[in-house]
Amino acid sequence: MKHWWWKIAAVILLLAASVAGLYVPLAPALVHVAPDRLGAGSAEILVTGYNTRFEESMPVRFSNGGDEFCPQRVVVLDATHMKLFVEVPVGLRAAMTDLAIGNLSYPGAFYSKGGGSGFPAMDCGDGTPSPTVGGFTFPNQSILYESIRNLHFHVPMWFAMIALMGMSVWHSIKGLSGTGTLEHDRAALSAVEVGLWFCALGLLTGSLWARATWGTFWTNDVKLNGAAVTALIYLAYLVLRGSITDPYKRARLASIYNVFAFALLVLFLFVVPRLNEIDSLHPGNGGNSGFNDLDLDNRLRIVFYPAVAGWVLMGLWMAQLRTRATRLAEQMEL
Amino acid sequence: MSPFQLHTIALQAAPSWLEHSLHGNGKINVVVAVVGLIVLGLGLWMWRMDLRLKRMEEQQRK
Repeated sequence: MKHWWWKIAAVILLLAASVAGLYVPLAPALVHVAPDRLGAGSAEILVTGYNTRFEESMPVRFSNGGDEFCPQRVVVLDATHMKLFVEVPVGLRAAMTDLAIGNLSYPGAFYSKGGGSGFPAMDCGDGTPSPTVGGFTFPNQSILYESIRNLHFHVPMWFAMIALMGMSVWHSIKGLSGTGTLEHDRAALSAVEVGLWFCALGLLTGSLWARATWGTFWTNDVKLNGAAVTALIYLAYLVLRGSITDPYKRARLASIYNVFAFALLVLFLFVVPRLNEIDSLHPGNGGNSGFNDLDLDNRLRIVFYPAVAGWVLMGLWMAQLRTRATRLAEQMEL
Repeated sequence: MSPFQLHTIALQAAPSWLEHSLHGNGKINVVVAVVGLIVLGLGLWMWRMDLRLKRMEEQQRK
């Protein structure tokens, strides 16, 4: 019990984070309007919501250049579809018109030519507050939608990989600076092998997520390329080991290489992508805001951190199993 | 116009298959694929560890 409490913790954390990561509903949002172009005159607009409960008593507002106008008639088709009959005023000032239904807003929902001289503002009234999906929800972000859940699956792969590479370099330094060189070398190798496994999973899951949000499996983004280069650097660590037969010589050389490899990992994953001159699609890099500035709110954090802790512990467990298996194999062959 | 007719119009105005899969499912498909991939990855790792242990067991028997 004393020695495997953290393995139990890994399983409990992963179970809790995975169940919550899949089960917690997404907050309601307005996701689509048709048509999405406004011109003066009467228009019929179909609004599509996600996880919404549309009701006719919900106040509907169009807002353009600071002034509001409202639909003449609202017909709720079902909980997620609403038809708006609106007389669009002449003189829309701004090109983008925002839509608000109840407490849900859709900024920049409509495009028009704009450049008008304004229109008499209307008072759309307060109506009754809209019913919302109660309780604990994840933020519903445009483009991401349900895929925001991948935060709890894709991102912890990288945290686990970095933790494993960190543990590996720690063993390498210990092995270089003291006794037990071979034992430390074994642990360093196992951590890199399992770390690369997580790296591969991180690249593949990231690629799938990119396809759903950016429309492509791979793009020449600084964060993506940095991750790929890091993977190659650690693959070279394995190649280097394979080229040396003397175990002590191999342990020393591999350990020295490992120190440089980890320094490059930090450089490629954390320093280069954050340079201001470099733009990146990936959240948290370049001029791009991370989820934490924008919407990694406490609702996501409460699931995300246990997921990270769980996957890091799981990775350490896997590395430990590898070390033990390798140690046994070496003892049996001797 | 009855609500039913309106709904028919709504269905016509809306969306191609893409819109359906994106807005209807809210991109849950990619989450399923990601979780599936991770489970598959762990399974592969277990299988390799299994092979490794099996080799040792065979050697011990000799």
